[in-house]
Amino acid sequence: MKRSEARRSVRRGFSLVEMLIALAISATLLTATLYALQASFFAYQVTADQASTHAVGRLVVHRMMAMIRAGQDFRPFPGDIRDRFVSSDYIEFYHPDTGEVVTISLDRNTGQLLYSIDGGYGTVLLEGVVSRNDEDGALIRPFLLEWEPGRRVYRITIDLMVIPDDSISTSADRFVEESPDGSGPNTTRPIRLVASAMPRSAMF
Amino acid sequence: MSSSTPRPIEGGARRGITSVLAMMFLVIFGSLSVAMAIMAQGNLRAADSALHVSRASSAAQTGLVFAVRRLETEGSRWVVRRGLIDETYGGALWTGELEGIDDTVVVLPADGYTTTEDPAGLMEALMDAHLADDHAFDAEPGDNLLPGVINGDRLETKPIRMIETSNGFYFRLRYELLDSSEDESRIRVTSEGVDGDITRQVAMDFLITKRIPYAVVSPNRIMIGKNVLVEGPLGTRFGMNAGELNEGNGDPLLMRSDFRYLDEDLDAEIDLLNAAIAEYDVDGDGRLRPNHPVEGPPVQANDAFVDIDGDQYVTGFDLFLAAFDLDSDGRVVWDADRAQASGLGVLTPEFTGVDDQLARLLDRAFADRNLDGAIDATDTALGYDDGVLDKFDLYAKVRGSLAFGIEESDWENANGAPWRTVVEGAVMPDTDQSPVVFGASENVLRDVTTAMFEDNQGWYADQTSSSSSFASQVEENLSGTEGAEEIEAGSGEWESVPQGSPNPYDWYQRPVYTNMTFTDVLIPVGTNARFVNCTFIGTTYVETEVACTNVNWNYLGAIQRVEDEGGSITWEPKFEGIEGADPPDGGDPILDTKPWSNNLVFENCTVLGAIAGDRPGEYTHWRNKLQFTGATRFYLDPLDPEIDVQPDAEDIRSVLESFSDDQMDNFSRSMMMMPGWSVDVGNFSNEQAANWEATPVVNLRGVIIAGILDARGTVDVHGTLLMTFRPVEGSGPLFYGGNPDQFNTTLGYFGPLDGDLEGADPTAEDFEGFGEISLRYDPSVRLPDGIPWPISVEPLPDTYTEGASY
Repeated sequence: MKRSEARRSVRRGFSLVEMLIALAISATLLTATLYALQASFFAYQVTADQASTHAVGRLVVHRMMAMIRAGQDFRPFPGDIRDRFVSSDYIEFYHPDTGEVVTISLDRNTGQLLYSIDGGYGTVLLEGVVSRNDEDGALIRPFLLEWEPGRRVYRITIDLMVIPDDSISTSADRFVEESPDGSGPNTTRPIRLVASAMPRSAMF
Repeated sequence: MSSSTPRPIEGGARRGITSVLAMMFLVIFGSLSVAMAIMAQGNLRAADSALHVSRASSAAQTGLVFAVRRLETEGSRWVVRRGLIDETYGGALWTGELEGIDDTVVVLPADGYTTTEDPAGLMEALMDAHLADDHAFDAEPGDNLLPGVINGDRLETKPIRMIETSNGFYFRLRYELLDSSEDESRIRVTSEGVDGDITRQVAMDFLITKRIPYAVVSPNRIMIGKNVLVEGPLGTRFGMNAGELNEGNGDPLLMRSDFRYLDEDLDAEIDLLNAAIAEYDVDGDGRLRPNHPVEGPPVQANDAFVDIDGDQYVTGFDLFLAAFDLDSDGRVVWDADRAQASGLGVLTPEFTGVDDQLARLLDRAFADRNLDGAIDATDTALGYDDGVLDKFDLYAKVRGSLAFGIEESDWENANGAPWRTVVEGAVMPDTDQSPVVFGASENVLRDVTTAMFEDNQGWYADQTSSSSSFASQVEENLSGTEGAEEIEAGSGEWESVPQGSPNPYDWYQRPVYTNMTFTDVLIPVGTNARFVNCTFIGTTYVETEVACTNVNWNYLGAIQRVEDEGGSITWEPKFEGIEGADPPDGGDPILDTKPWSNNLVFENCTVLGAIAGDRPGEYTHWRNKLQFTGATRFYLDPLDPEIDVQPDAEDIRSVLESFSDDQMDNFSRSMMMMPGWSVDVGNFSNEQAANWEATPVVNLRGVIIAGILDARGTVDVHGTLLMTFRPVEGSGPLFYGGNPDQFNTTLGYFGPLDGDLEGADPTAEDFEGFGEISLRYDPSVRLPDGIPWPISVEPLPDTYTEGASY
């Protein structure tokens, strides 16, 4: 009888205070864990999207470089024939392998890099291309054509700034830098893709 | 004591809750860690894959560049005489199956490796070169059998490492003969780059062809005077024979600044600049770079040395701009009307009436400035013929490189000073080319001699065999052509040789034929005529006695002009009593070689076709000589835009369009095939200067072959000047003494101040100017057969593809 009572007295429930303390500790731990988990997921998503965009961007740039190397009859021409450099939102050239005129252009309204053949419908090569300005406020265009006097392109440089993935950029906002005083808009970290190629007609 | 027993039970219950919590956290963090690790690995794989792709692509590109170089070096070993490398001949050169096709091919030694025997064909030469590679290795089973020939016309090579590790990236090459169009021969190179499991392929076609990539090739010394611009490389092997280099005039190249004789102060500055260039110009391009550690200091030290045109070099052109740019706007206006017509507005003339021919020459140089194959308003927008001289004219005395057979030290030792003391003017080489090459090998620069042209005249001579004789055509003209006239030999005026020279070496009393048209005509030996305003259609073949090796051949029958104190003139033998020459068929000795040779003058004539002649056994410049003076015109291409401005454009085009394909093919290879002859183009007095703007220039097209050519006055050459006469001390025209440096390929004005007594004195009152000579290399020109020259294997960039199957 004594053993039974004693056992019963030992099994009595936690006191309310104990429960509250335990619940508070658990809630705090779980909240912290979930927060960390969510942060990890966000970071994971951001990194994964950056990696994905990097991979896609690389493929797109690699493909564009290959086409430029093999391309001929590039456009646009310099406005003044004596100018050596032309910045543009598009390049156009003849592709001897396919006999097609290829246009690669940036649609600033949609942020899409488009690829079209013989002036046809544009296929999206890359999304999330953002506009940016240089130190003087001038718009930086994605294509820079370096001309030899007249109509022979010596080198083409591509310079694109791409948001990794705009569908997740909002959720990732809180984990990226804010402006120093905290008042500015949150921005994602865009990826810069830069490449340069010399058409083989100028190289050999 | 009973109260102590329940404690373990209570503690055990609480441990259970803790372990659940611990496990929960463990699972959460473990999952996170695994997810992160997987993600990181994925990123690494993506990056690694991209790196492999990049390396493989780079390896493939490197392989293609490697192949370009290898084809260039191995191709240049094959010296052939054929002018056109067609599909059959190119295929034979590639496979080495030349028997029955060409037994005259010479294979030069390999550069950088040795073989026990010469390769049979170009493909085998490439295989030998690949066998000698240090970085070839076996990457896959079967590679140990490479390099090897597949199906008789395809060469597969071993992989070539790009990095010294066993698993590094590499490329391998495939060369294969292609089915080509009939008149060309192509091979394709496929380069496969490999890095790990990633491969990338690129391919490009190459043309087996033959070019003489020079504007001038000469075994004698080259002299380029003021008012001469050369677009293309120059090459000479003069100086390699004993006695050729000497401290007198024994320089392989002599070049004069275009900016002399314009202003005394400018002359003084040119002198200072040339002295600085001779001492400090490290790359031999005749220019000083203001920021260069060696070339820069003399520029900083002289306030007159300013890079006015902004091309990063100080040249004579900068000094010229500084001297005549009166409003300091960076340009010199030489023709205000032309400038206004070009859209430059109303400008004040700054350089008018000083040397108009020089101004026009500079403004019209490098005409196709946008390299699109046409000369149009776009080129004018780029400064062509726009009435002003400025940075857009891209001035260069020689737009190409200089190649010498001799070594620089040998030249300078003989000269006693830097070679640049006698070679004035800026040299602008192509991208990646050196401005000057000394010790040029036979792979890139060869001597062409008169003896090599043994059978080349056959086709031309055949063209005249079925047409009327020269005498018949003269008769036909006299009876049927309006204005046709003939003055018989011995009844006209005495004419000096060279034409207009103040110090002639002989005189002729020629027959004169005026306003006549000749078609496929053979001009008989001994004609020695002057043709005035005549038209020559098709082939004009000049006959001479080829057995002219007697040492007195030049001088037998020479005449001199003797003027006594009273002013009366007599014509007397110049060399009394010299021993005659044996005639080729026996008989009495020849005492006058004029009837055995041909010394012709073409004045204001039109040549629609080509001129060829017998190949004399010795160079006899007094006897076998052609002189083209006045506004003599040469046309061959019906689309030549210069025909448009001619008053008889329609007639010219009609004739040119009537030529057969065979005629056009042979004419286009050489409009002048005169090996061993002395050819003078233009005239010493520059008589065009009186009305220089309206006078057509003497136009020459294609490969111009002559023993020695002198071009003075106003001349435009689009092609290659190929000189064949190599003067040798003690033989031929130097039998009675003299140095090889007395025989020069002369382009432009040289006068008494330069040691040239044939030239007019620029300080004389009747001096008529320096002329205007443009010499432009034409890479598209088709070569005649017979010239032993290395083939070249040239990339065709338009055929470049990526992703080709290997």
